Amino acid sequence: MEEVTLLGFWPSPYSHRVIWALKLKGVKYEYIEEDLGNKSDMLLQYNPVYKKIPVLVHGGRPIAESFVILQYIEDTWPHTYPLLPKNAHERALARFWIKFGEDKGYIIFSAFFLVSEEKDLGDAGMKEVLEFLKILEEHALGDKKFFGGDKIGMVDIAYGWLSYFFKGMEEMRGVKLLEPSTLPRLHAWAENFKQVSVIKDNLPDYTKLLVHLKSVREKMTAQNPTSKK
Amino acid sequence: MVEVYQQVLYIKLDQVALDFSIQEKELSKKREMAEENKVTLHGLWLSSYVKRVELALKIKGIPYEYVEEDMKNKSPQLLKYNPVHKMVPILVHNGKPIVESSVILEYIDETWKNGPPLLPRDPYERAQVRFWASFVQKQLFETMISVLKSEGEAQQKVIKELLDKLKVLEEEIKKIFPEGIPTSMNHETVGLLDIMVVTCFGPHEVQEEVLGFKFIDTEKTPLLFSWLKALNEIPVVKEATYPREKLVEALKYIRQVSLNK
Repeated sequence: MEEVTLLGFWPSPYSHRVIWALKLKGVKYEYIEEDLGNKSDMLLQYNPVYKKIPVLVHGGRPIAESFVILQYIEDTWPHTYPLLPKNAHERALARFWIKFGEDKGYIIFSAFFLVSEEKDLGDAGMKEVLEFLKILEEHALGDKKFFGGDKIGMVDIAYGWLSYFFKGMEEMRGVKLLEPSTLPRLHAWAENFKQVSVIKDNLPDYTKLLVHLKSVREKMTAQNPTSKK
Repeated sequence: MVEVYQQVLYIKLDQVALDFSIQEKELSKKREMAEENKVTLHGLWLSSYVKRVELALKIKGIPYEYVEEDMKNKSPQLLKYNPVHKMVPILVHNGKPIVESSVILEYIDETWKNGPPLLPRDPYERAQVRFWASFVQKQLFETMISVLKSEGEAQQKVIKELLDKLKVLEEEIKKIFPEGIPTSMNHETVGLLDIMVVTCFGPHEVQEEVLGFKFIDTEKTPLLFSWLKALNEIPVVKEATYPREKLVEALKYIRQVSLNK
């Protein structure tokens, strides 16, 4: 068995995705915490293009970009816990929703981290976020327990950040978007997702996370004092 | 005797009727199967995303029906098949839609295993193809669109970004083609990354004409230049080349609209 190493960062949902996938597959790996303010030579060597985490190293060969890594994990360990559906069309749907989240990522990031103090939903950015969540609930989740059906799959892993990281973002901005009253099914999904044992055992400390998010926002708004999309 | 003859006649008639009904059922099944295996692509002539799917279908030798959509007047089918984005390309197979070009390409590769493979078999190599395909799309193509849509200082900034990132790809090409770029390529040996590169930058000379500067040439990016040259010569790629004047006009229009905003 070739050695598996994961270069990660404790608050990063991109990092958590890979951890969850490896744990679900039962793959043993070594975890290395990166200090993003002082990137290791190893990180720069393994991901010279983006210099970012997560990076999975398998048998000395690096793979970067979280979704490329997730698909690599699925391709390499196909016999345990399939992360994608067997049916080609359903697999295409799963990939579609993963890409949807990837593409909308910037909107959400801007709305929470870059735009100055505007707490109510009148803010165009927040409106877009709510719309995004509504589309997910209606079209991607529907009446299923998880995006993957009865068990969590790659789409659940992709949106997993909504179940804990997003709560921190909401608290940081003093908004409430993902509520049982506004998004009952998605809210229920988030609660169910966090209860899955692999997920439950691999979530960052919430208090620590909140402190971290606040410092990220401070840094971002300091760099972009008049930024408003 | 007549009665016996009549009975035989009726039996024969029943037999004919039965045969006929079996034939009808078989024909209808065949029609259903043809419908089921039918592949339709909804697209736009200008879209490089649509071109990716077209090339993939042609490389695999998959027969398909093409439907040109009018973005100003979207068909009810388009709205039905892609309610979330209301965009093309949309591939319809067995009556079911698949959207997002990258998703469609993987679907095609997984579903039609007989033609040339679009992705390598080895998981690590697959990961490399997916990584670089995403780089070409997000870091190169989208940056070039930003260059098209901007001017002045803002444009200078993205031009520099584009040139820097092209250098990154140029370096990687040395690993992709350790023995140099083949002088001629054929459609059986090209894959997903070739498709990405040729649909994004195949028409680079036209893009350069509109933008007013060269970004892919024998000086700055010799390997990329040769790769594109070889790809553009492949018959299925050549057939799908944009009519030059139409493309110039379209790119100029996009730029105009963007700058007026």
